[in-house]
Amino acid sequence: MTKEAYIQAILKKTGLDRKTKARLAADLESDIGARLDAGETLDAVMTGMGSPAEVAEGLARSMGGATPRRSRWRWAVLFLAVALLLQVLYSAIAWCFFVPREMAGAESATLGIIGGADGPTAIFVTSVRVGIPALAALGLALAALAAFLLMQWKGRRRPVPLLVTGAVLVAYAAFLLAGGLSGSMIESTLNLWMPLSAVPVLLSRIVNPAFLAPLALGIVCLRRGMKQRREKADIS
Amino acid sequence: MERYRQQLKKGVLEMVVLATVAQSPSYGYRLLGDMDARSGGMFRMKEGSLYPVLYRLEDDGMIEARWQPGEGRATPKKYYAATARGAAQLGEMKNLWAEFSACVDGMLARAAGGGSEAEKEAMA
Repeated sequence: MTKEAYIQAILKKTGLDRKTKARLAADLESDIGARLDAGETLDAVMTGMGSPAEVAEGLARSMGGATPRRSRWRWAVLFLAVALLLQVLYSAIAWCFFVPREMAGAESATLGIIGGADGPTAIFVTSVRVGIPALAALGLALAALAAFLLMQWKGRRRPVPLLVTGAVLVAYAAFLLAGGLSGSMIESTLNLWMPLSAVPVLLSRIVNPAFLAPLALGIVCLRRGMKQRREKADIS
Repeated sequence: MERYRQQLKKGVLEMVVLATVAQSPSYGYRLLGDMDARSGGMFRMKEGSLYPVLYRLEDDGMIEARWQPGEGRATPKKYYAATARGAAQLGEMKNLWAEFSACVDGMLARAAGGGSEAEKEAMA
């Protein structure tokens, strides 16, 4: 490992803001140079100062903020997000290329459900025809991606990705809710003769992991993002 | 006991670093060596603990940093020096420390002696 690579590894692991990193880089450059001038080898310098993770942890702890340790489960969450996104992609491709247009409407619902137990083809049709499961998978995939981002961004002061993710998730949840209220729902809601008929449908939309998960994760992302923005402003 | 040692060190670290820098401008590596040597090993620390203290002092305007070219083939160094404000603050810190340590010494001495007669009567 070269001196530059060692410094970069330390800076990367601190998770601190850019301004503090620049300050640290200058001091590390100066002091490692001083140690080398004093006759130490780079290996001895690295042994004396500690591994990049050790140095970074000490710095982050003393500078009141970043905790570079992140959960290892974040990779499992990312895997889940990718699997769900692939499911959405598969449904979209199947819907576009393999479902006959004449079956794409209400008929296919009946066909898909009836044929579900009959064989592979029928099961395939069932899985691709329904838009709601694909939307649900998309919601859960977005929620899983947000969870990964929260784990990955733990202790960092980079609010923008979290704020963007939070905004997208909350907008998606709002879209799902609005989708639930569209069409017949709105009509039935507006229909004074049966005002209560919309309530169970609306409740079933709200009490649904595909709605709640992205909404909750979106709110967490937004709150964490705003907190990080405040911390960043305090430091600069 | 190590926890108390760490806590005590933490409480006076800024004052000790400021005092060392005020004695003569220095860069991080030399500061670490000086503090270690002058404290008999009590203030042996690593860069990861020193830099945040330096940055706090610099942000408070008590020290300032500047680059100085190295002699001969030596690399440039980032030197820290005490400002006028830092020197004044250090004087106040020394007074505070004298007051603080006299107070703690007195309390510990009294505790070791079992307290005054009046205190013993009050306890009884």
